[in-house]
Amino acid sequence: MKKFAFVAIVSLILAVPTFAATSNFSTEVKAAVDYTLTVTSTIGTQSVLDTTKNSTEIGKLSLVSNLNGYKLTVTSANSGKMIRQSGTEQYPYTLTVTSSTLGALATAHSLSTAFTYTTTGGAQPASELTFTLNYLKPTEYTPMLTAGVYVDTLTVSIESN
Amino acid sequence: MKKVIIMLFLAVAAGVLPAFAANDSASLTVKAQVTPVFSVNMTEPDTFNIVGNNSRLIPSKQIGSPVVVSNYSSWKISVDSTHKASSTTGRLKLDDAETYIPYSFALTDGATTILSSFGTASAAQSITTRGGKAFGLYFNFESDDTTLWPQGIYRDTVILAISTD
Repeated sequence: MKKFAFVAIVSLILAVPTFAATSNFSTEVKAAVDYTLTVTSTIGTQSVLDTTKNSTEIGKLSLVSNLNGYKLTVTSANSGKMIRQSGTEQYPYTLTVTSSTLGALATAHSLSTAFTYTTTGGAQPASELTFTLNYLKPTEYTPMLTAGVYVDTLTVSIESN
Repeated sequence: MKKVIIMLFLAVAAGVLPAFAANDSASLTVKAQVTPVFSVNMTEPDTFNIVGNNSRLIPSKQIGSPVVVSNYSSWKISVDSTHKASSTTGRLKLDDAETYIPYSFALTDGATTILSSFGTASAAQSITTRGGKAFGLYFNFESDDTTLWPQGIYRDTVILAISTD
């Protein structure tokens, strides 16, 4: 019987490729900035118009906001007319609104319907709105206005677009 | 006749006798393949508030913990940003606007920052455990006293890349 002697030479080859390997991963990062709106007003709860002139600045609104635009609305309880207390006589007026950043938003606007203004062009970080009422002097009416106190209520509101 | 049979037997027997000096050898190569493992992943981060209660940008935010699993003995990691402004400044872009919040980033290994420049490979890293090696990805923000960031959602896409030499 012929015998064979085996000599086993074992080579262990780690078969890790030698070429460069790459792997990528991407993810979206999202950060939120909440809205902020701070309104400071110099408009009193009552404003007395100087009827020796044709206009009176009733006050300012200072806005600090990061809103992406806002909508300003001004409404009149009597459709742009002051009504004589204990009477029905009307004293009409108009509204002018000027923004420190956007210029005139309204010029002698009748408040027979609500005044609205929507900002465009993105955020308005800070601005000051000046409200002025325009009217004729009582002496410029023919016949002249009845003596008395004339009253109207204005409501100013601001909301985000 | 008997002689003939004996001779044949001897002849045949001689042919199967072991040769005293005979030797032989054979070699065998055995190969085993270890499949490459090389991946990087990170849980998608939640949307976070970037402005704090003091109306200023938060100073820092951990965006996530990238995990690399590698059975390569040497590899590197890099970070990139879709909206980056420079090699060290990334940017979060406001939706539908060209407004950007800048940030710097840090990729950390424990308490050590191993990377803070976009598009630059880290120093060589070594083979990981099967569970992988976790890093920390932080965004840092600079705030000032005056900037009022517009309201909305700001986004950036971060690309994590790993490579061998």
